[in-house]
Amino acid sequence: MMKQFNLSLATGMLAAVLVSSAAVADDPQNTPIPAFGSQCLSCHGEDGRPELADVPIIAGQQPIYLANALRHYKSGERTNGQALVMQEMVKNLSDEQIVALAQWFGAQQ
Amino acid sequence: MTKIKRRTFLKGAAALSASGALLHHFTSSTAVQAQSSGPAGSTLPARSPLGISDDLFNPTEYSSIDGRLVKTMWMGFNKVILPSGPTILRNFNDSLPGPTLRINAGDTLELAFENRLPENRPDQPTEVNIPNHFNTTNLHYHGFHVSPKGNSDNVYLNIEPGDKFNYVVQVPKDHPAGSYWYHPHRHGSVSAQVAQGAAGMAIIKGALDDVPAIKEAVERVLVIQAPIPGVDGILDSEDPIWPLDAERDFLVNGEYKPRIYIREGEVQRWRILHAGDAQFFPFKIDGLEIYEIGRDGNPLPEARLVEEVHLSPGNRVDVLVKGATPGAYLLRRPFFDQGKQSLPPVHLANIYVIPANDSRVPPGTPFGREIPKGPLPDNPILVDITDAEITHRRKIVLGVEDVKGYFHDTLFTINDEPFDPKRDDVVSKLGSVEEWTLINTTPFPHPIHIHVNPFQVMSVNGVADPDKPWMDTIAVPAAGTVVFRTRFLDFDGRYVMHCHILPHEDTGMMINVNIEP
Repeated sequence: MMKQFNLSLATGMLAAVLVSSAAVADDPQNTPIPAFGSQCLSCHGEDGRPELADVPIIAGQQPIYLANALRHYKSGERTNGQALVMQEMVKNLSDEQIVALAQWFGAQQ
Repeated sequence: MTKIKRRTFLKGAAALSASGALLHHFTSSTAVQAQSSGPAGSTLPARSPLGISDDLFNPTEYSSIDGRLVKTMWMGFNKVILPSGPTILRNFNDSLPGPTLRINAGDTLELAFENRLPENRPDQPTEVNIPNHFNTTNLHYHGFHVSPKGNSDNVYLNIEPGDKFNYVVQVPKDHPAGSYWYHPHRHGSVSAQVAQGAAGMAIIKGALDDVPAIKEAVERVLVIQAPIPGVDGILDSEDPIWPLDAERDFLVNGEYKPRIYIREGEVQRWRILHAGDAQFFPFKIDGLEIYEIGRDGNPLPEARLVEEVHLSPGNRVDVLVKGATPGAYLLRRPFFDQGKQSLPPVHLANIYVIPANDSRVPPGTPFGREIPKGPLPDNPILVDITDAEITHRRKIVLGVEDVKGYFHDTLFTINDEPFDPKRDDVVSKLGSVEEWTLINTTPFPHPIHIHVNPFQVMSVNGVADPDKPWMDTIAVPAAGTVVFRTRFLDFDGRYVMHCHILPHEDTGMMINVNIEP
């Protein structure tokens, strides 16, 4: 229930994104990650469960939290160490794409 | 099926042979020669430092005389018997590994190099980042602070089959002492040639060598390799070496699971070179104490007892190993993950601690007993780089892309570009001092090596290294970062920085550094 609530919150905030991602809204867990997010999977795993010991599990994480984290990487508010890797990964993502990815990972169980 | 059985049989035979002597006598044709000297260089045949016939042999050694080491070196086909069966490898001087070079700072290496390989097959790729021309080669002096130009440490040379080339490498008088190495470095064939075992240790004397406790110890050279033969003979394709788990049968000085003897109470000094092509090699010896004293040739602040020693391809480590209770011990690589790839354990060697008065050891053989206490001497010119010295900072991003038409549709990149020999990726001035942040966006670690100037490691994944060690090859963790600092001193010219997982280098993960005068 909690997860659904959070998802609907994110959905409400992101109507514009979801118009172009109708399939994600219909059944996000069984929908492939948007093409612009394919690079995420090499470290975070096909379902958000990584094979690398020092990479966080983001499957099922709160989408708002994930979106804010990605924004903070992009703005440079999260820095140093492995944050530098994430800065590289998100530098070319739009805010709409960030939110779509946050929603996709949040929907993985 | 028959072939597999035969290989299995041979592997078992090698494992059972007393010390892998089968291998070193086959591969080291100089083993029966006595020490010989020429006008500018002496040759010490491969031998056990304890004088025991089934002990691990140090490789044949070429030493300088009166400031010069003048030798003929060649790359050619070498018949060997690997654990998987007999084969032919591209090696230096018909030897797996190549001979050890031992010189002093200030010496000149004068190597008359010959490429004795046959012509390349005509159907070679023309794209620079697809492996090609496995019979074209050159020589790189890994870790040497020398000129990258002309006939010195110039890795842009193509020495074609049948060609000869005279290398003259002037080593500065204040060159840091330590354990270095040499290997071919022609982009396109470097991974294939190093994967077959074309490599050797190169020692510049001094620093740690003069510590009394180390000076009195027996010195061993251990070159770790896992040569990969062609599927049906000579390796003519990158395919057999491409998978990360391709290296299977690890050798020390060309021997499979050799015996290494230590006397009870003895401390031995081992210079270890990881000359493998791709896999990392963390190792331990259960039941024996290992003290690390140097990394990439440079001394640590003091001798440190360690549970496990970490080596990535290209790294060297100097350790002291202490013989405890007589018995048999195992030098092994434990199971570990290299990024997303799980790699199996490796049984590398058997360590035998024998009685202190074992009659097989000739009288007068050195017998170290002490671990040095207190600070170890450092290499005087490798002074900490301060914040105030930094003249420029750079970001170096390691990546990989799927691109159709390349080898296995893969291009490795640095700052989003695959290697281009014509492009200067970094331009700086002689005397500049720079801080580079290496960012690895891939799920595999990449051991990054820069030529000519060593660097001081500041942090890994944002965690400061209190030792700030001077190295020339550092593993950037999967999805991780490394910050190092370096001074561009003494030598202008173009050279390279690249991944020392050499199939990655051959498929793009290399940049040019141009230091202007």
